[in-house]
Amino acid sequence: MKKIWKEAEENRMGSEGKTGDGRGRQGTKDGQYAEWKNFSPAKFLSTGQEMLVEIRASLYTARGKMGLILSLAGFLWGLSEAKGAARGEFEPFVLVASLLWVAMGLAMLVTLENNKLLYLLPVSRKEFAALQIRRLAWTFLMVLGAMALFLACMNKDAEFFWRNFFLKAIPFSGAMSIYTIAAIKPVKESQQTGKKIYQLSNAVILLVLICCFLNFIVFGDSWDVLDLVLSVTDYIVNLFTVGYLYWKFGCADVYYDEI
Amino acid sequence: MQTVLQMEHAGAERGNAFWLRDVNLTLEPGTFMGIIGRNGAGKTTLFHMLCGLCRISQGDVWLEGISMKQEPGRCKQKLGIIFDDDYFRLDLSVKYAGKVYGKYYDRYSQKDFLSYCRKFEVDIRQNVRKLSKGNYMKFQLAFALAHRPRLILMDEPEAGLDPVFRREWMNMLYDIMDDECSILFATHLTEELEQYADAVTMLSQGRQIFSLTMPKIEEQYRIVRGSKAQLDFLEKRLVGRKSMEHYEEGLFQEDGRELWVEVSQSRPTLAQLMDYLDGKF
Repeated sequence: MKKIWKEAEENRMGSEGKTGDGRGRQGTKDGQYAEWKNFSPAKFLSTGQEMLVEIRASLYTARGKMGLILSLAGFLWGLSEAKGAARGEFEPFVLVASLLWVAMGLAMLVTLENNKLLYLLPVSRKEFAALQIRRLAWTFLMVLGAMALFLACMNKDAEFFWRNFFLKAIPFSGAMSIYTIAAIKPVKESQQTGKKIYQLSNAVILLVLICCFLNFIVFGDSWDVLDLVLSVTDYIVNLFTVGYLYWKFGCADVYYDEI
Repeated sequence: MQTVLQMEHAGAERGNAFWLRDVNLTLEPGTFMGIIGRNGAGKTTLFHMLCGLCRISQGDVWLEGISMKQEPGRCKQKLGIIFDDDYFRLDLSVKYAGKVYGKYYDRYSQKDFLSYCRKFEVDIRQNVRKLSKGNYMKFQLAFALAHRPRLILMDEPEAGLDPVFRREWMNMLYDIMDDECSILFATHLTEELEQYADAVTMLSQGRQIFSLTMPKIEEQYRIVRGSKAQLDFLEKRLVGRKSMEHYEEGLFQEDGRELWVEVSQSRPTLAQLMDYLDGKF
């Protein structure tokens, strides 16, 4: 862990060196490039390390323990279902439910609970939004890893694996990771700012989940037009939602006292 | 040296109502300024405005010349925050809380944080949730100092602390203050402010009553005691007046003229100033 932190520190120092004393973050001429710096590999790794520390700390709490149990239970359930598929007994919805458990458990393990702190830290809205997207990416990789393992355990041919990896696993993992960060409170739409978008977030999340479940209805052994259409729709909805969440976190003009 | 904090006609509103309006204050480096006022006077709103929890809807706030409205991120780098409520992620150990949140500050040093924790006798392996109230305050102070802030904000941190710890705490603050770091301290414990503060700002019903250094307060205000006739003579020059059992008392604001009556005069305490000046805009 010490080594990881040392590296993170070096990464941080490295990225700071490029931005001087941090003044490049806002209000400078290169402000337009600063947004992209928030998605650098160093920042991505740093977020992963932060999540590791959070998971470790969460394990001391009842909520964290519950999250871990839920994740592990979902993982084992999915694994046994995948092995069942190898024997010809396969129910896609069971796989969906097991992955949902994994994602819910992860959300319980890594969700930052204290919203006030996020407002007190010296990060701009855009940086905060980027942080959430980086967390989303890590969760995406974790769920995708689990799903890839399930597909591999089904003992089907390579074509089956890759077809379902691209058509099912990626959009599904995307939807699950979106779900884990969608509940962040500091970006509730405010009545004060005149942004009349009440409940839009809930509607968007519902749309993502419906699309991802619809995509799973067709879990076939061969290429199918409906399968393709549903998957492409799922990709589009997921991308739109990530964009929406980034906008919502980064541009919504809401202060803590207005939530 | 550059002014640490400058507020010009700063105000915060919620809906159609102002929570705070026309606050003007200046804080020089190395100054300990107390904020006093009754409950609901606007002390917490002032702090929320300073640290970006609340919208600055009127005027502006500058930290070392940087506008809080324009560049809140840069301003927050210069702030150390010590609040009464829990705002850290409580599941983390002290050591990791420092590591996780310190990364957001350009000038943060984990080594300094750990050394401050040792100095303040805070167990770094302890879960933040399990820290006693006093140790939680010390942990916040250690974290604030580790990122070398220019201004430390403390919103009634002493509430619920025993008198011995409060004294220890104030001495600790006095020790850490230097020419670079100033402290803005909201409290109801006016006696302690009288001992330690260099300047005091008083708020009442969302407005600023005064913002003066302690010597200026002594110069400007006096408590006068005398008979009813004597205070009747001074009536127009008194800010406030009270009838006691055997004498009358009033708060006199210096106007450069002689008193012309033989009355007993004394320096007002901050509690007396709050009592007389509350609601007088």
